[in-house]
Amino acid sequence: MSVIEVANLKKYYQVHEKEPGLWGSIKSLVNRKYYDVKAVDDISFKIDEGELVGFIGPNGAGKTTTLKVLSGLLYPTGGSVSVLSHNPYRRDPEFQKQFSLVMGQKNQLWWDLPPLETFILNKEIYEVPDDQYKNTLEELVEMLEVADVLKIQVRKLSLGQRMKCELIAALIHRPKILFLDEPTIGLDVVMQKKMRDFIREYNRRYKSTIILTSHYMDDVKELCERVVVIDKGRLMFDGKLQEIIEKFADHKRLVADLSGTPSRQSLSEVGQIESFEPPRVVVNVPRGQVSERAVKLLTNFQVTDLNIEEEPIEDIIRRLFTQGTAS
Amino acid sequence: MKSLKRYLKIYWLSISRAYMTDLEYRFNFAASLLNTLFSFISTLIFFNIIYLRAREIGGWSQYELLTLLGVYLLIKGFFEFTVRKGLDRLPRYVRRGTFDGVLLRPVGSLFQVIASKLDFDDLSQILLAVILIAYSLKHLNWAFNPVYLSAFLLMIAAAAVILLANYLMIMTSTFYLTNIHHEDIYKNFLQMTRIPLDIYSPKVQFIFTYIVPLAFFVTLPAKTLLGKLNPILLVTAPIFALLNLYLAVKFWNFSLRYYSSASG
Ligand SMILES: Nc1ncnc2c1ncn2[C@@H]1O[C@H](COP(=O)(O)OP(=O)(O)O)[C@@H](O)[C@H]1O
Ligand SMILES: [Mg+2]
Repeated sequence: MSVIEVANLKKYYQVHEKEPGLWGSIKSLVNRKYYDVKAVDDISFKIDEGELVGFIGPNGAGKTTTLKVLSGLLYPTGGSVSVLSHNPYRRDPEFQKQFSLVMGQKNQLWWDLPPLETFILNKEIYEVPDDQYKNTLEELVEMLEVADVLKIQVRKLSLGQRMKCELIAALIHRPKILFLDEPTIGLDVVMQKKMRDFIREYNRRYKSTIILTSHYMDDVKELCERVVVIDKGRLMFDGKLQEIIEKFADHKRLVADLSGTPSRQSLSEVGQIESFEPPRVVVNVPRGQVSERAVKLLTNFQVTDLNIEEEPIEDIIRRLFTQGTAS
Repeated sequence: MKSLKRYLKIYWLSISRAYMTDLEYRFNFAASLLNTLFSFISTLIFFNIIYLRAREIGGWSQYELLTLLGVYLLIKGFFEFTVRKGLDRLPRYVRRGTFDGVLLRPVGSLFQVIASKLDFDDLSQILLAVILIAYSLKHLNWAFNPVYLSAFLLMIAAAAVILLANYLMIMTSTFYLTNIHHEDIYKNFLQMTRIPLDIYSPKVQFIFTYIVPLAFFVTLPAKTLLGKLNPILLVTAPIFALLNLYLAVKFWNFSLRYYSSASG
């Protein structure tokens, strides 16, 4: 059953041009020129209950905008959106009690107060019963290992600790749907991993539906079976991560160890050199010619080891973005 | 009933947090009282100079005019104490994108903005107002009259609602124009109400009552207290107040569409 349905969604921001300087300001007062930024431009998708879907795309792709529309913060320019059978923009309290939006760059915790103070306020705002509040808090605090920071002022916490407390504040009412916008941004590698483990575990334990945006491929690769790729407000791909490879990979990689002193020049005849650090070399070759190229490598060089690998997903996606066309 | 209790609790939690947060805040009541007192005394001197020459202005005797001044302080103090400081935070919320949080929570957005601050300093104005009104009424040999008093409270309530509605409309324009000087608009607007507006011709009075509703704030409540009000206004004032509030809230809800949620 779909809990999120988005059909032909468009969100254009109207911005006005302003020329620099005082004269520019005056001119723009008298004669404002508006133009549209097409942040989201005709996107459709459906998400089922309990799915953990990754939204990826470069900066400015329209990920945050999409989540803001799904949360009812922004009024869509066109198309239709339904979340848990509600129109998000109506901001019906019954709907608002069933989801949470967490933005990595914004905080909802009271900066000068301990996180617990925000939790207590949220408990009232979301009408969480006492015993449920107690249980949920206990469970989340244990999962995220933050028992010792609950009574420390937020501004004295590390970014990682703060992010964990942001999550607790957002989850205290047990939302059915969770929108996570770049939850790992700025975190160190260890903390990123902890965050991912938590998200996975949360999704598994509570069967909640999660959309996660990121421009770190690792987040998505580890967590999400299904990915939605957007770029410049358009949907480039929607499906299993594995299918990206099948659909878009037109190269394979020959990873070889060469003995002796191989020449870069003659290696480039085998294919496009990805890395050249003898003995280890990596060469990209077209998918259709893998065997011929491998034979060429084996005959022209002294090969001690050879592997044929798929192109990494990061590279495929980066290529998708730079080409800017979906096939 | 249950939801009223919930809103009161949220109001309390939110206001108390605002105080805990406000590091620079000290209970500045004394300083604020002095400040109010000084600006008040200068006004008083001004009034007294005028009354050295005339015994009456536009049908208002000296102590009646002081009553008017008291009502002005009462309305202003009450409004600034309860609503204004919260609403004043709106432009900042919008610019920084913190307004997102307000819109996401399952409690009315307007309520949350108003509940974001309560400034106890403004109680000094209310205190001074009550003293001044009592003092003037004593000089006028005002006999306690429950009818006038309840009518007065009704008119004060109507005034508060109209003021809230009008200020809300000014603040709502934040969603369209980022740099409005609402502070100045408000000040000029309110200062005009210190004059008894019935010194003007009926045409101008009508404008100041129903178009730019300045008369409701001070002149009409003061006249109620003095027993000089046209009773029909006791009916039109509440209706007019509710109409204003309705329009202001409609305008607010409509304007939220233009909120574009600062990037981040
Ligand atoms: N409030 C806004 N006003 C105007 N333009 C905006 C606003 N927010 C985002 N944009 C523009 O919309 C596009 C998409 O932004 P965003 O949704 O934040 O992308 P992402 O989250 O994928 O990085 C960008 O070009 C950005 O500059
Ligand atoms: Mg973003």
